[in-house]
Amino acid sequence: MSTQAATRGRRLARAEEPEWLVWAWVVLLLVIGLGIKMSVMGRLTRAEESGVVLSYPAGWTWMETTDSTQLLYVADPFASAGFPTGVEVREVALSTVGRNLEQLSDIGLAWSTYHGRELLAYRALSVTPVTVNGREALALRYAYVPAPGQGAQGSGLPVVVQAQDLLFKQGEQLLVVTFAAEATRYAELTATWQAIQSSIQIQ
Amino acid sequence: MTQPVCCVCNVPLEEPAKTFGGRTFCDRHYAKISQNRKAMWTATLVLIIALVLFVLLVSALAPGFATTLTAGGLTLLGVVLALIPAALWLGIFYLQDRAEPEPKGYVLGVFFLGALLARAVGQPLIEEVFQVNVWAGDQFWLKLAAGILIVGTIQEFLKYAAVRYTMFRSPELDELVDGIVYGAAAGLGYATMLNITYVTQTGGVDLGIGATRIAVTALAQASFGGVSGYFLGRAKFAAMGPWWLPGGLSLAIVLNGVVTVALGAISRTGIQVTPLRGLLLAAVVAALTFGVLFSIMRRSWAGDLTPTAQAESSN
Repeated sequence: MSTQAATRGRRLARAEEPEWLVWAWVVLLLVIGLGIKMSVMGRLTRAEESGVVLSYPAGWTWMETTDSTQLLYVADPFASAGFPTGVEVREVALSTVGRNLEQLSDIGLAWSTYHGRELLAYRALSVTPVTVNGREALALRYAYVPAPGQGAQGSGLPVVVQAQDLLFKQGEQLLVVTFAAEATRYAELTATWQAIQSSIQIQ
Repeated sequence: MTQPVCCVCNVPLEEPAKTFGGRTFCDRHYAKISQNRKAMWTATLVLIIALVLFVLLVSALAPGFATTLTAGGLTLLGVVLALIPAALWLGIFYLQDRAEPEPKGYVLGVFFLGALLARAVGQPLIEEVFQVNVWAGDQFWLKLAAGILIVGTIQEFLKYAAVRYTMFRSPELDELVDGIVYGAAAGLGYATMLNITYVTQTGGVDLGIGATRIAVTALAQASFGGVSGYFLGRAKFAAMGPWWLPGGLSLAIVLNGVVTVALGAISRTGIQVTPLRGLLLAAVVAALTFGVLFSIMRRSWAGDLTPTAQAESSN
């Protein structure tokens, strides 16, 4: 140890109660805490169901459902009091959506009409062709007001939900991956949705 | 050579000045260092016993209130219940503290500062910035890490700051035990704000469970505040070295994190909530914490401090 360092050490030991040490200690503890938070919140869990593989935030939980077309539904239980942020995978027979549906663009149109019948105050916002891990798909972005039983929680004021469906044609089946959240929170979840979308693999 | 001044009241002193722990004191404050403030211990003991009785009483009366009160009435009653622990402690403290009363405005001021810091800084940081509820809910080690590194650190630092940057340099903090008085007041202020927020957010709550939670939070937060207050009190009257305050704050932080996680674990069996177990643990923690502090302080009053001080002063 150098003489200079030893002098510094003795000076520190003689000091009465240097306030910066308390502040530095508190900041250090908070930075470690923030590091743990970021590693946990950024951590993804992999799920595989009926040939569909995707990753979702580790804090999200599997939700029970009675919908027979649903392969997977995971949601963030702490996201919102009105509607849980989540991702859902469904497999629907193309024949239930419409007839003679060959092109993805036709399927998108029919699926949007199908939503219009099912969802309250439904409004399509955009339809975009996309490629997900080499698979062609159609991204349908829309908004609606969920009814009780469609994920809306409690007896509070109705909320507006914004969602995006990724539509994949699988033979005579339509595979739909839906990411939905309260419209007020949708924009801040872009990174989460992109992480989920880039993890989707269909076997 | 600079003229020595009293470290409490800053009055210039004649040589040779009385010293203790590397600090100089005027005659008046030298005599007061190790005085007891019996009212603080009485108020705390009464608080622990009274809060247990308070919970039992509210639990017995709650079914009647639930059927007769509206949601607004329940919320109002919940807010009144949230104020009871602080009112009890402050009331008993002032009634008992007649010999040389601590200025009412200062203790009350630190109490309100604790509450204000909780509302304006502490809970927004914990809930909005660190979002502890979102990511630290399901695993024990994660809960413990978040409880210590984030919740405990923020809560205990704010209580520490409420005393350190107000009363610490004031001549009114003139006895060793005063650090504990102001620390506990800041802790109760923080607890009261947590309880009011809880009651208003849950719209009145189940009064029995709500009263238990109010009592548990008050006992726990006052105990943690008392710990850092003790370390602050010692640091005012003796040069304890650079690691004393970070060490004391760390002890309060770890206690906060561990006890909060233990309270959460003990109050639940599977999906069943058993809040009375939490109350028992909080009462034991408060009794142990203040018991240990009392024992340390008693050694001071028994003479550990004064002969040393006299020896130092005679050298």
